[in-house]
Amino acid sequence: MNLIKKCFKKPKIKENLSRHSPPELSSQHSQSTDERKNLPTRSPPKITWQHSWSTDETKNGLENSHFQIIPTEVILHIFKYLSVHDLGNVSLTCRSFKMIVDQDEVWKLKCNSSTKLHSKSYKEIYIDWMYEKYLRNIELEEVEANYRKERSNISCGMHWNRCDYFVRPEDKHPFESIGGFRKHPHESKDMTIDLSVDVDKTAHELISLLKKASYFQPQWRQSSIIKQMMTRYYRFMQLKASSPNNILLIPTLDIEIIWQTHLLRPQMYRDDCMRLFHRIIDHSLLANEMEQFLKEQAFIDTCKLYEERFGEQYCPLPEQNDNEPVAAKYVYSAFGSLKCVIPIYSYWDETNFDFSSVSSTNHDNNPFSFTEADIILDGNWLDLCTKYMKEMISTVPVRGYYPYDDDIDLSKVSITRLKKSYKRFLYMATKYPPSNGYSFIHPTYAIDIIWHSHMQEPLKYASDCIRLVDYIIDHAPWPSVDTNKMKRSCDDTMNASKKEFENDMRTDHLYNTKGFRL
Amino acid sequence: MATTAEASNTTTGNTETATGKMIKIQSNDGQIFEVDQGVVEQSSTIKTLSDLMDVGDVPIPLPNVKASILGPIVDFCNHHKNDQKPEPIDEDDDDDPNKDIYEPKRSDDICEWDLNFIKQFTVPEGTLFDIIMAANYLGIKTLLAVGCKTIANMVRGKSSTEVREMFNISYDPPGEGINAPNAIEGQAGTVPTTQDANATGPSPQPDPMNQ
Repeated sequence: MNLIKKCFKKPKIKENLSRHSPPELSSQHSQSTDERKNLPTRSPPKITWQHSWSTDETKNGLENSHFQIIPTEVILHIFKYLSVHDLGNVSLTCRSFKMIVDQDEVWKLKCNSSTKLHSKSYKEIYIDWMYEKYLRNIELEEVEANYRKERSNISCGMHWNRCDYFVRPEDKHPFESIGGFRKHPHESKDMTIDLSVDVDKTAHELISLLKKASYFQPQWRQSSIIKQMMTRYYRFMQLKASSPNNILLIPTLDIEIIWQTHLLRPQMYRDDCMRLFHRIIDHSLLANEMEQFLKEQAFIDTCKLYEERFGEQYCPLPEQNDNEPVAAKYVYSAFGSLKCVIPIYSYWDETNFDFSSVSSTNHDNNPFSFTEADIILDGNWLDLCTKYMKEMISTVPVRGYYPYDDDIDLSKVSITRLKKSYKRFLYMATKYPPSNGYSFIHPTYAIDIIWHSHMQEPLKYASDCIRLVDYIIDHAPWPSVDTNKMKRSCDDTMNASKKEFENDMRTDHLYNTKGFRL
Repeated sequence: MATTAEASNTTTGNTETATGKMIKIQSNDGQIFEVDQGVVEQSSTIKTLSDLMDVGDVPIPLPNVKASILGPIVDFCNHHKNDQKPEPIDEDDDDDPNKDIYEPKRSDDICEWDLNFIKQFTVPEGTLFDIIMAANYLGIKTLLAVGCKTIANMVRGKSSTEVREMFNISYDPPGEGINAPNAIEGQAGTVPTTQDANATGPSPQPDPMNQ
C-alpha cells in the first residue's frame, strides 16, 4: 500500500511527456496523439483512511528501536523535515510511523492552502491537489497535441479564418464613461489610458526572450529538464523572497522561461506567491541603467547565494576577459544593424547555460499550480503568434507596409496600433466583465503581444487593472478542449467586439484609428 | 566526550563575571554541573525550575538526564549562549506569516560546530536519541532541532527497508481488512484498473498479528 508514492510520482506523466515531446518536435506529433489516446487515464486515488490499529497492534514495530523512547510529538518534529517522497518511505516502515506520518501537522506544510476542510485531512487535500494537477496536465497535453496537429491559430480559443477586406467606420458610438475609460477607444488615435508598464520596450524584450527560448527548445523540452528548471525556479524565488526588495538577483534563461509561464497566469501567480512566499514577487524584463550597470556583479552574487543555500551550481560564471568588452549575444532585428552592447533585459544569457538534468535532488515536488504541460504549451505561443500576424497581414492590403520576413513587426507605428487594440480589449473587458454572461473576452494574438508584455510586471499589472477595469483580468492561456463551447464563447466575443467597434477583431491591429496615417 | 564536572566548571568559569549568577544542576547519576544564566536561558525547563525554586546553592535535580549526556549539552549551550537570538525555533510557528510555509523545515542548515557536535552521538548505541530526549525534556529548542534534523537527514533518500534496518524497526505489515485496501486489491487479483494498483508497496501477505 504505497499510498503516497503513487500519488505524487506520476510515472505516467513522465511517460507521456517524453513520448510526445522528443527533442525534434515537428515530426511525430499526430502519431503520438493517437498512441496516447489508447493509454488508460489514471483513476482518482483510492485510499482508505481509517487506520484503526489499537496501541497493541502498533507497538511491535518500534519495540526494539531507539524510537521507542521518543514521544510522538518529537517524531512529528522529525517528520516535518521530510519531503513527500521520504514520508512515503517512512510510512511504509511500520504501523506507528504510518499513523504519525498521516497526521495533519505534517501534511499541512505540503498543502497549497492552509484552508482546511472539515471532512478531509490535510493529506487528502494534498493528494487531491496532486491529482488535480495531474488531470490538468493530461488535459493540457491533449490541447498541446491538438494544437500541434492542426497548427491552428488560437489564443485563448480565438478561432479565425481568412477574412475579407474591412474598413474601419468613422461614425461615433454612444459612450458612457466606464472604469478608467473617459473616452471611447475610437475617439483618438493614441492611447488615452496610461499603463504603468513600458509596454513598448517590454514587448521587444519579450519577443526576443521568446525567440531565445524557442531557439533552445530542442534542449529543454523534455520532462526531466523541465522538472529541473522548475526546481531551479522555485529555489530562485525562495532567494528572491528571502532577500530585501532592493537586492538585485539575476535569473538565468531557464528560470526566466518558467517565470514567464507563471507570470502569464496572474491569478495563479498571485495565489502561489502568497502561499509560498507571503508576498507577490515582482518581475520586470527591463533593467534600468543602474541595474544594467550592476547586472554582472549581481549575477555573480546570485550564483554565490544560490550555491551557498542549495549546494548546487547555479550557472557557470562568465569568463574573465579584461581586454574585450562583453558583446551582446543577440541583436535585435527591430533595431536593424544597431548592436545593443549592454542588454537591457533583466535575465542572464551571456554564458552558455547548459540545460541539463544532472542533479542530485529529487525534482518531483513542484510546489506551483502550473504543470509541465503549461510550460510546453507556452513554448508554442511565439510560433502561433508569428503565423497569425503573417496571415492577417496577407488578408488586409496595407500599403507602405514592409513586414520583416519571419518576424513580428514591432516597429513604433505597429506597436502603437497593437496598443490601441489592447486598449479596446481592456475596454471590452471592462464593459463585459466575466460574470456578465461571457466566460471571457478572448483576445487575438495581436492583443496578446501587448497583454503579455503588460503582465511582465505583476504588481503594476494588478494596479493598472484595478484602476482601469475594476478587476484583475486573469489569463488562462490554454483553455479546455471543449471546442464547441469555446467556439461559441469566441463568437460571442467577436460579436460583442463588432457591435462595440464595428470592426473585425481579428484584423483590428492592422488599422489605424481615423486621422492617423502611416 | 565524557565531560567531567570540573571541565564544565572551567568552561563556565570564563564567563561567570559576564553573566553573573551561577546555578547548579544535577544529573540523575549525581554529577553536578555549574552553569551561568546564558545556559539557563536556553533551557526552558531549567529556567522554570530555577525561577520556581529560587534554589540558591542547592543543585537542581534533573532526574531524566545522565551525566554523560548532560555534560555535552552544557557544552552545547555554552557554545551557543552568545548567539544572537534569532526567531525562536518553534514547532508551532507555522502560522507565522513571515515564514515560508511550503518549506519551513529545512534540515540542511545545521552549522558546522553543531554538525561536529552531533556526530559524536550518531552511533549505533543510539545516544543521539538520548540527546534528543534530553533536549526535549530540558526544553532546549535549538538542540532539539539539530537532533531532529540529523535524524531527518539520515532518513532522507532511504527506502523503507533501509530505514527499518537503520533504526532496528521490525516490520509489521499493514494487515487485512480496512487497514489494507490496496493489499487486498492486489492479492485477490481484482481489476488492477490503474497502475497504482500494481505499484502498491510491500507484497500483501496475510498478517499473522492481525486476525
